[in-house]
Amino acid sequence: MKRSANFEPRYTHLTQERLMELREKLISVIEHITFGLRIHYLLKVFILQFVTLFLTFQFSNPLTIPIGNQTVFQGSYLLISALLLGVTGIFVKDMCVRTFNPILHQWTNILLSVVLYLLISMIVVLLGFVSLIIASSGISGIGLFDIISGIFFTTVFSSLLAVGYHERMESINHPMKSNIQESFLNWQRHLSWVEYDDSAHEKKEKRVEFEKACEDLVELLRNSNTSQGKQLHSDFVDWWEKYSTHEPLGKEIIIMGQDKHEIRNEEFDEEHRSFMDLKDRITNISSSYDD
Amino acid sequence: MIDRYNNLSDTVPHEEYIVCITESSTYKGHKFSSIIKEIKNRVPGDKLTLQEYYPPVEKSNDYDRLIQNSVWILNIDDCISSTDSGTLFKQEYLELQIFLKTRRYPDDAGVFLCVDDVTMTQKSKVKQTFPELTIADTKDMLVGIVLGHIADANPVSTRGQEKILSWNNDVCDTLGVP
Repeated sequence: MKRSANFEPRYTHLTQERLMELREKLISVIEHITFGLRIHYLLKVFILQFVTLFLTFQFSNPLTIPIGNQTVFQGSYLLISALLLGVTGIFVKDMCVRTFNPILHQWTNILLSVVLYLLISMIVVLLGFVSLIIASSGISGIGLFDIISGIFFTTVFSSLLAVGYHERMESINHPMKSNIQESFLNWQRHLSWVEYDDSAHEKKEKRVEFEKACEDLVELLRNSNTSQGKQLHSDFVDWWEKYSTHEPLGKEIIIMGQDKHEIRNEEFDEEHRSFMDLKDRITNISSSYDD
Repeated sequence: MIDRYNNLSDTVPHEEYIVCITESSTYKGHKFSSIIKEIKNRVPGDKLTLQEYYPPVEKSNDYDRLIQNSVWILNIDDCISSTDSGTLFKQEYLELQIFLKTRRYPDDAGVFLCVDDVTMTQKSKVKQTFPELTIADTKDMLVGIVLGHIADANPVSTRGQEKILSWNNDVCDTLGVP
């Protein structure tokens, strides 16, 4: 009995860890579509698209309209689909690079986002369009025209969703990629104040400029929507608030780190570690724009 | 790096720095970090915070940096020359010896020496060389003299604010900070 009592908390702990991991993965996948914005819009569009398709085909009689020149029709639909796919790609890429999550800036993740947009739209098409054809004519009833129409509907819905989310991002005045890049580079540039000699007149001026860049960064990061971006904002504010309490000498030690010695000021060490971690994260986002 | 204070309100709150010039991590069997912690915990009021740091030997002669600390603690055991080389301090601390001998530290700075395991002759040489500096023989004495100095430079009182302002701007004058 005692043994099982000992095992139980460990098992619970492992399950909780696993659940946390799964939760993080799920959030990461959802953020490839919502970019940290509310999921409600995705659900709204998803339901509306499904309803639109269902109603379109439920009340159209006959289901297929006779078309004279099939090749031109199919070619036009494929061309429009390609254009809509491009629209989806452009809007999704812009949203990806405007997040404060460097993972979303990677090409593979931008592609994954586009694929997820297409996948969601494909689910609507499969449920609302293909299933209706199968129900009425069987699986053999799916012809080339239906496949092309399916592709067309998929790209229409995915571009609608992408434009919709992009519009949401614009409506909350989310900073543009160029603003983010400039603010991050500006902050990194102004870190050089610590390199000036203590007697150099411009040292104070450079430090004040760095602190202004910090304040600007706090404001910029306030726009974070993704979980990584929100975490970066919160960690930066925590560090900035502590840093601001120090006199210039302490501020410099926090940025530069303490010299190698057997004994160290633990508080300074902790704040320096936080600074280095933030610097790495900011550099990571900043350098992701160079790729 | 130090900013000039324009009026007394600039001194509240204030963070003072203690520079500990020591190669060993302990003094009289106590870790330097725990001695400083004890001092920090005994600072009255909430307007003054203390931060210490430990420069390596090669930076112990950085005058521009040293004068920005209102408290200097020197572990004499590390600085003093064990050979009869003609100088009291070791070669690497000679500049520091000159700073102390010529009183190149600000008037309101607290410079304290602590001795752990030096001979009586060495201790009396230190006393002769730096007659105006206080030498701590015990951990409690070191804590006491630092606290005594800080009590006078605590922005909880107007007198403390004046002392901080005077010390701060004295350092700015020396460094040429406008």
